[in-house]
Amino acid sequence: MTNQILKALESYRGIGLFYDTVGPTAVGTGVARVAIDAEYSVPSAARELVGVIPTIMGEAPAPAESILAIGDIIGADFKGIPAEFMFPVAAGKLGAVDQLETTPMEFWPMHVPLKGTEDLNIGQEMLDANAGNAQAALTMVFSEKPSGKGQIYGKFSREIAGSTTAAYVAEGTDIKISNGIKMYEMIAVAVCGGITTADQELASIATMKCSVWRPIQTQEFFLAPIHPIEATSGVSVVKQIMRLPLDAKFNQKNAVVETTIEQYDALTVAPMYCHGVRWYGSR
Amino acid sequence: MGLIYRTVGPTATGVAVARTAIKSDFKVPAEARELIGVMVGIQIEQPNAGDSILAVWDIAGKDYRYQPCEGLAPVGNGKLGALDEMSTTPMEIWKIHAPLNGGEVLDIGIEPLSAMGVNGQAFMTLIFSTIRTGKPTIYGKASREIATGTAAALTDGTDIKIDDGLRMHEIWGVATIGTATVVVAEELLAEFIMRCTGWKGTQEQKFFAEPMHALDGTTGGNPIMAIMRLPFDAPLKGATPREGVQATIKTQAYNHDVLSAAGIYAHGIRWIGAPG
Repeated sequence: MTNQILKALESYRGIGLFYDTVGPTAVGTGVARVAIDAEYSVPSAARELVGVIPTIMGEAPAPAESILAIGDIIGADFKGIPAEFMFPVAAGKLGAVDQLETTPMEFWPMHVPLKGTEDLNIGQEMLDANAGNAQAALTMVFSEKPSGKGQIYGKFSREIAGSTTAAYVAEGTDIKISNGIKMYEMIAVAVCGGITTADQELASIATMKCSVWRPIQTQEFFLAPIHPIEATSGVSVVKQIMRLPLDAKFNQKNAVVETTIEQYDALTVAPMYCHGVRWYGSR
Repeated sequence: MGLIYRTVGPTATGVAVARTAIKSDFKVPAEARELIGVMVGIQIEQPNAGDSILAVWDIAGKDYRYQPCEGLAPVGNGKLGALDEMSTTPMEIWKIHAPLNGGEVLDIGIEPLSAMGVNGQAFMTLIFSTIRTGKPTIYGKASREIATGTAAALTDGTDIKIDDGLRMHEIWGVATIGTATVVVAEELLAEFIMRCTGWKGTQEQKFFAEPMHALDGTTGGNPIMAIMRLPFDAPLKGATPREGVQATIKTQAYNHDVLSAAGIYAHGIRWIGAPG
């Protein structure tokens, strides 16, 4: 929400915040990384990439279509890799060709030092194929002075397929962390990728385990249903997202986070899930 | 700090692009020593299908020494295919921190930036405190409507002028679609650009607005409205701690998508002014 972004950025006053945009760029329909801008030149005054505010939309979406996409920033001179973040989760209505609704835009802090000479490659990767094209864009948040805050890295698992049956448990792909110091947050999202019937609901639990987190090695949380499922008109198909702060310390710098989802409800179309972790790291 | 809440309105806004007083003679509570901020609401009365509201609030009056004090009311849109109530973007707090005294009289107004089919009603919750916070007073000004047309194009808006500014506090942008029915499966990615040679540091700011409601067909949700508020605290060149300067902010709206009904954009700025 706009007010939440305003609030999140309030703590950066006094360091010369400024804003620039990337895209919008058509990112296609396939499950592949597409550059929103492969040669984005960092503004010369920038001394830190404070973070990003991504957005995504469907163009001519099919009924009940959804978009679950991660973004990333790479580049030979970029000191923030891995810098993955999540685009808003988008889903269209069930019974009509219509525009997709998305979860709110969110601010993803990064605190990556810059020299103002870097070229960045800013990308988007859909985790599930999309029938109609999508367009992705970002507002880049820079500062003219360093914030003094710890650098945050981010990495996401790719799609975990849910099921049409209730009480379904699935393991996702592991997320590997290098040079970790302390966790910053954990994220999980879910969306239905097809036409479901009316009056279905979805409760989901995400679990993350990491043997080198201290003091607690296992975290469990529910995902918040942003839109309930509905009939052939009205609101969108299920989409869920949750971001939670986590400040567990790493007792060694390399770590593996194991991911699991528990799907409580039967659905006529299997949902898809994705986990993410963001952490403070050393270069 | 002894917060005090008071309300004004609801008051009919009229349908024209003109300022209407929500309350022209609001008396500040006797115990109040600072206007901390306001929360503004707006809704439409018996909206036409696809009607929209894009409106700016302001606080004026001969006793109010911290003008201009403008901000954005929530953006409202009705459904496309049916006579229905509007949905609006959330009510938001607009901090002001204006020192004042009990008994002072404020003139609180609302100004639609685009004509509406039928009347709207506006209301405001004012937040006072019984002691002064010592925080600097925030001034505000909005551009008026930028009609962006139906093409994907960059459009120049009106300039926003600052008198007696010390440093910036916030930039915001808002977009919607005017009273019209649009076709399904259209989207609006609204980009806002502001430039000012009087800003120290980076003199161009670009950002996207958040689409609060996606475009819809003949039933269901609302037409597009998009909004973004961002903190921005660039000092103004030549300002001293006690003496402000003038500055002009140039505005552009980038409508990235072809629409069957024209987009309406507005920009706004908020700044810290010279004391006294």
